[in-house]
Amino acid sequence: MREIAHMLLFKCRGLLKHTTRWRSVNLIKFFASIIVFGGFAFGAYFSARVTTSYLLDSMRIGSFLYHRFLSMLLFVFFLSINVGNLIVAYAAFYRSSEVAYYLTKPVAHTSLFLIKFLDNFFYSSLPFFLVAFSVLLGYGSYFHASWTFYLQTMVFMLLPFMLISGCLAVMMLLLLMRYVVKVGAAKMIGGLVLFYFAVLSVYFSITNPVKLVAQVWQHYPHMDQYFGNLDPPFASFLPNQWIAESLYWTMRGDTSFAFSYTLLLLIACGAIFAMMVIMGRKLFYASWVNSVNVQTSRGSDPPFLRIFSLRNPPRLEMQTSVMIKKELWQFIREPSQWIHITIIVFLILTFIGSIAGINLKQPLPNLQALAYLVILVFNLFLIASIALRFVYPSMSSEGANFWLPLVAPVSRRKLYWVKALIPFVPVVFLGEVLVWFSHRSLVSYPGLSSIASVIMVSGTIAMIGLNMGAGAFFADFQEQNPIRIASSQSATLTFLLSLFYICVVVAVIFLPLSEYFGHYLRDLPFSRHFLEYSLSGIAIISVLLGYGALKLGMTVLKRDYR
Amino acid sequence: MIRLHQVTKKFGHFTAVDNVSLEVGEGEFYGILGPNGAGKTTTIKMMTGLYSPSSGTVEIDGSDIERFPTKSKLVIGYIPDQPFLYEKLSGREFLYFSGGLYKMNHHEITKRINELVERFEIGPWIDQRSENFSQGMRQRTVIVAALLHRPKVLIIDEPMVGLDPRSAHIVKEVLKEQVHGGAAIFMSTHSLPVVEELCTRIGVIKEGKLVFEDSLGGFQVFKDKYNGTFESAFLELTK
Repeated sequence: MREIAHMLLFKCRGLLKHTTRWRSVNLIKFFASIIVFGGFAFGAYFSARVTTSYLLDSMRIGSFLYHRFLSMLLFVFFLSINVGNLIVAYAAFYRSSEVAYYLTKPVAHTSLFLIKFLDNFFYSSLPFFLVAFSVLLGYGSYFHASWTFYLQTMVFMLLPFMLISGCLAVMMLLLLMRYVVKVGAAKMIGGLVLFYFAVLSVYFSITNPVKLVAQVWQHYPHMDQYFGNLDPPFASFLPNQWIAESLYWTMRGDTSFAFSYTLLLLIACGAIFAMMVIMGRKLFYASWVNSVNVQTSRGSDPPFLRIFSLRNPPRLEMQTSVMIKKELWQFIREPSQWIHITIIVFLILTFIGSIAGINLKQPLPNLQALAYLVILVFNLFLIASIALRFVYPSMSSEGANFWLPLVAPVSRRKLYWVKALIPFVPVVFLGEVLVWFSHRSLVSYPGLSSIASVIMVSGTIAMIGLNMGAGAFFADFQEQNPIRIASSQSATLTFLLSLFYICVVVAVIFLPLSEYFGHYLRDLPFSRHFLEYSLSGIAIISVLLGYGALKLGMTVLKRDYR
Repeated sequence: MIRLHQVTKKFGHFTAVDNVSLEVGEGEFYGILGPNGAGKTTTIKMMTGLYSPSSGTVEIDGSDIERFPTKSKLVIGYIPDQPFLYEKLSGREFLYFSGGLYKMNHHEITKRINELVERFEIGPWIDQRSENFSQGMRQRTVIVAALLHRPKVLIIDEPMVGLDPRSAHIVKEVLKEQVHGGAAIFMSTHSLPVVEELCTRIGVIKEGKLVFEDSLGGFQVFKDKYNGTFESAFLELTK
């Protein structure tokens, strides 16, 4: 325990010194974080408050059904934390020079494992804490909860809930890394993606929200009764259900029932944490050694990519050619890029598979505009996620190697723009693929896919520019792991800005789209100019945002390289 | 070929390099010595364009590196103090990448790589990914990359770190050939025997100031006053 306290003390000292260095970049990060995170927290609070009020007062779905929806949301939240922790934990446990350093010291592996677990858990879960607390505030304010309710729920329910998710993620990672050599990395990643997909599918097919709503609705208007008998038996084993039950009974004033679920959660949390520590003691070092073997074993390059070999004569101008090829090979040969690529490709295929089979046509103009915008927002959200994960870290991942391009006779402007333009082509292509598949049921609307194309290309310009620019402006040449770079505080800030941009796009296009659908569905008057001006507005906003962010990022190349 | 005119570099309130002026001509081998933190690497980073001077100018082959960075850098070969390579590229790919950045044509790069690979005896491992390289292998790769485009100016920060005696010998021989071929070399090192063996001109920097500068002959006279050893003279200058 003294060993852990000693390591934690120096870790905290280092962190405090790092975060309290008052440089202009840090100040910008600090104030921008307050504005964006504050805005995001307020948005989450407001949405939770309004949604709760809408569901309970306007829709009158009743307290039971409301808390079951909450349980489903918590399940998705649980999985999100789990995946987030799993991905970041790989970098924290197996790609960290800190671990390599401590392994050469007489430090117990269990202590090291626990330190890295805590580091990883709080690092990757901070945005989730923010979301959880804001939503809780919205929820509690509807029920006029006291301040002790917020404190108790955060400390004794949501923290253990998130801890269970984090512990399970690390346990899964330990097992994966222990057997990765035997099974193979590709099979492991594929299996993992299938596992998550299966968990999500099984959960929603068993809980079946549509069926539940129909069953509860039969008791209208007595919707506030407890319908626990409708829950599938396996649900009572899930922590999300315990929280939902605890909140339900708290709001009904039955604290003894609520307490029993809280106690159950705490006991489960303690047990899973203990299991994780035991597993860590047995498997951590062995899995670390395995990870080193995996990292140093050289896989062969895919044959079809050999035409891009640096050894081949260039087809473009020499400097541009070698810069593009270098980016390509660095990307292809980095295993951590493949984990995310696989997950994202899987998500895209799932989305395309689902959307291609859905008839998006709606009878009412506003409803049609809404349904259409949901799909468009998802497309933009996907582009934002890809830009965050793959474009944001691109400048930082140059790391200590950046000395070579900087001392070479390459204009820094060229160096920067080549880097920025490389991801643009594949992302625009992906955007167009998404547009094509999501418009298959909407071909009867003339020009609709062109509207979507303009929005997607504009969105790509904005997202690539924003992520490249912000990634360069906040570049951290000491941190070479792309996963940690993409999950840093400044990366989260950039992602929230992307979400804000998407909201602006929706706000600008909603009315003209409603008019457009009104014209084709109800023969209402429609101004083509209004639509064109709105699209032009989106294009201008996107170009200004993308270009402005890129210009800001350029400043990194004017700084001393240290 | 290299001209520093009243160059100062400040980091906040700390002055790392203080009003340094020096020149290195064609065929001259300038060795810069100094204790840790004296300002050698900062001076070198200003010469290569990695740092921008707070005041003063750095000229390479007649061009101010701040105003004409691309033109100046075209003639520089730089060997950094820490040989970082792109981990996912093989040594040979790194050399192609480097040659491409220096605008060499593909055929010329291939020919030159083959020559230098043979000269530096790095053929057996140059096609491995550099993440598997030892410090010495990285250092040799970086030296080859610096020589690839036949630079007129070589700026070197600690060239012998991590090299085995045979590799160090090869490097010294190559550097001597470069000087005889008319290149200007500016080298920072802590190895006094290397300076004594290679350099034609010596500078000593202390707390950012150039406290001594003379030819090797002039330094011999100076060191005779202090036991006649290089080490005693260095200790006297930097105490």
